[in-house]
Amino acid sequence: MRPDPEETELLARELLALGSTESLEQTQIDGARRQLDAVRDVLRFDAANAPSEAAVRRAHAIFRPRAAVAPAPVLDRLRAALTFDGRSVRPGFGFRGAAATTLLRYEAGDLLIDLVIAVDDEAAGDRFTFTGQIDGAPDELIVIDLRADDGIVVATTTQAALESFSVTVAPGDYDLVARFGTTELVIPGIRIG
Amino acid sequence: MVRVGLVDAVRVYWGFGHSLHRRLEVDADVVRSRHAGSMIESVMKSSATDPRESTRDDDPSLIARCLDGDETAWADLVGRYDRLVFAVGRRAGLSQEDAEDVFQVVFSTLYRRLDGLRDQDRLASWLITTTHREAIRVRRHARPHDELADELPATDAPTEHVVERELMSQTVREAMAGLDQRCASLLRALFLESEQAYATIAARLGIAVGSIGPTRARCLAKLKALLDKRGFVPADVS
Repeated sequence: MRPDPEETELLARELLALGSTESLEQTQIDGARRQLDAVRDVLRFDAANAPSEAAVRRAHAIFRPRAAVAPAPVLDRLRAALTFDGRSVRPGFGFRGAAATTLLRYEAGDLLIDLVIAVDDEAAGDRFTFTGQIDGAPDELIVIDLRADDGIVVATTTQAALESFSVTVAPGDYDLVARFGTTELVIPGIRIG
Repeated sequence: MVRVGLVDAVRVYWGFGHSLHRRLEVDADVVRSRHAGSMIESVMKSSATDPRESTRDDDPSLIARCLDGDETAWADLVGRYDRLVFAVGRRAGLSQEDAEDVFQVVFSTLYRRLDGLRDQDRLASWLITTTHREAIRVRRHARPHDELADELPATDAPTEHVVERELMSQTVREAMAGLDQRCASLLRALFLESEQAYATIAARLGIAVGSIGPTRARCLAKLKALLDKRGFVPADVS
C-alpha cells in the first residue's frame, strides 16, 4: 500500500535532506522509496536469519592457531588408535547411499573420536566433507588442524564442548592434529578418497 | 497548516500498516521550518567526520593486520561479514544448522587464504561466491537422490543477480554500521519493532516524543549519505 503523495514527499525530503522550499521530482521520490524498501528488506531478513552466538564465537576462534603457534606449549602428546573402520563393513543390499559415507572410530586414553568422511557424488568425488567429534576432552575449545602428508595445514577448524567440527577437503592422506590446553592429539594417516 | 502523523506515514510507507499513534504526531511545517536548513548542514558535516567512518579499516588493511597477528582485526572481519556469509547460505536454501556449518567452513577457508587473496578489495564478492558454492555443494550432498536436487542450479557459482543482490545487502549493513548508536537504534526500531517499542525507544534514547520526527529525519539523512558514499542504487523491483 502506497502512502499519499504528501507523506511520500515528506519522507523523501527527510531521506534526501532537502528543505521544504526546494523542488522535488517524482524520480527523486521513487529513488528514495527504493532505498528505504531495500534497507527495510535487509534489516528484516537479517533479523530473522542470524548466525548463533556459538557459530560466531567459533569463527572468531579460528584465528587462534596462527596467533598462538609459539606460546602454546604441548606437555602431553597423544596418538590415537583406530578401533573401528566403517570401510570394512559393506552396506546392506538396497542402501545405495551408504557407501558414500565412512565412519572411523579412534581412541586415545579417555578420548573417543568419531570421524565421518562423506563423499560428494555430485562433485565427481573431488570434494569430501570431513566431520568429527572428540569426546572426553576438557570443557574448552579444541583447535583442529588437518595436515597433508607434507605437513602443510590444509584446513583448520574448532570444536566447542559437546559439539562437532566439519571441514571440506580434497582426497588424500591426512593427519588430524587436535589441541586443547597443553594436550596435542594426533590421528595419523586418515585416508580420504 | 498541514498536520502529518510522521510515524504513521513511515509505517504506511514501509508497510507497517495504518495504526494511528497520535502522541507522536508532530507538525510537519514546524519540522520543516525549524530543522530542514540546519539539518542539511549538520548531516553533511557529521557524515564527513563520523568517527565510526574515519576509524574504520578497509578490507586490505584488516587483512594486513590479521597477517601481522592482530586478533582484533580478525574479529572485525568476522563482524563485518558474518551476516553476509550467513545470509548467502540461508538464501541458497540451507537450514540454520547447515548454514552455520558452511559459515564455519567459509571463515576457515578465508583465514587459510588470507595471505593469498588476489583482490583484497573485492573480499565481499569472494565471500559471496565461496559461500554460495559451498552451500550448493552441501545441498547436493545432503539430498543426492532427492527430487529437490533437480531444482538446484547446474553450476555452484552464484549468478550475477545473486552477487549484486548480496553486495547491495552488504552495503546496507555497512551503512547501518556507520551510524551512531542513537540513529541505528532509532532506525532499527522504526523498521523492525512494534509501535509500542518505537515509542519506548524514544524514552530510552532520552529524547522528547516531539523530537522523534526531526531526529528520525536527521538519521535518515545520515543513512542516505552513507549509502550514497557507497554507491548504493537499488533497482526498481516494483
